[in-house]
Amino acid sequence: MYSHRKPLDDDDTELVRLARGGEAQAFDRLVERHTPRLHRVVRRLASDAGEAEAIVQEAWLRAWRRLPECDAGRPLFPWLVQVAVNVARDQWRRERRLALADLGADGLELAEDEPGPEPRLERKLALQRLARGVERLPPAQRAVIALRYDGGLAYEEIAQALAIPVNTVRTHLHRAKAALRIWMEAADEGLA
Amino acid sequence: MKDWLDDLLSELPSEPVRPELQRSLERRLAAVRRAEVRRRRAWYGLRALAAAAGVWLLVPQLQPATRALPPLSYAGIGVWLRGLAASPPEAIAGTLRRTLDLESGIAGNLAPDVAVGLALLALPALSIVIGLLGGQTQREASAA
Repeated sequence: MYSHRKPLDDDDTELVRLARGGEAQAFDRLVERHTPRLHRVVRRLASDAGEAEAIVQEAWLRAWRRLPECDAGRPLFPWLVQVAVNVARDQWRRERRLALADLGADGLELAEDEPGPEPRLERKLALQRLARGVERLPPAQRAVIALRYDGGLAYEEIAQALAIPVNTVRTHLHRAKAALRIWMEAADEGLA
Repeated sequence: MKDWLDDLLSELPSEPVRPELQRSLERRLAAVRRAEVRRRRAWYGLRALAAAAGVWLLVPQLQPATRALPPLSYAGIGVWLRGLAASPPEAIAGTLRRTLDLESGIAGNLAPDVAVGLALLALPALSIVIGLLGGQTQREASAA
């Protein structure tokens, strides 16, 4: 897991319990808390910003309707991701496509705790190049990368969200990282 | 083990969430909740209407049904108990015979409205029972 994206799941349990009892405000609090991270994961999978927003909105509406099915004893976010993945799948099935993300380099944001100007620029360029590399991955590998690094999910949670075996998650992740390493090394050698 | 690629992947740039998304979500959720309340109210209204119609159909049928019932008295019960003590099979057979006569008498006096009335009363009753069972399941799931 990647600590800077860990949710406050302890409080989620109480909010989920209240929301299941019909308290709309508790659910709104969950929406407020998890939308940025959910959007980040979905944006990595979606073909454009509009599609990502539509999926996030539909995922929350579906989550509200299916809240009684949510296991209150488990962290909420992996379940939310699972709902969002199912929404995306339904949407793509309807549109008969599985588009690659076209996340552009414009408007990219970098973490604030960065080193001095030159290394910072270097890191920014590396991140931009890596983002383009992730866009070029096959959808299944990109999904695993998004759920693992943007969502901070464990292998088991990714497997559950994508309805695939844990070993397949490991394989996708291994292949994706191997491809990304080659992609990044090609940039270092000035081949890209 | 984490390496440079893991570090970079953990910091991949992404577009920030537009504030409009949050607002639009709140609006859509509020609309869904309002629709749920309207649907629930309509369902409660329908149930109340069904129950009222059921009562309206059944009440006029109760009088002929009660007329078919034999008058109940202490003396009558005493006679039946003495008969039961003297000859149990005969007393039970007699009671069964009278019950069957009573049932066919009531059935003869009842109009088809009764069946409709009973069905109309059963609809809200069943829905309340299902609602209670569902609520209990949800409470158990929340407590678990």
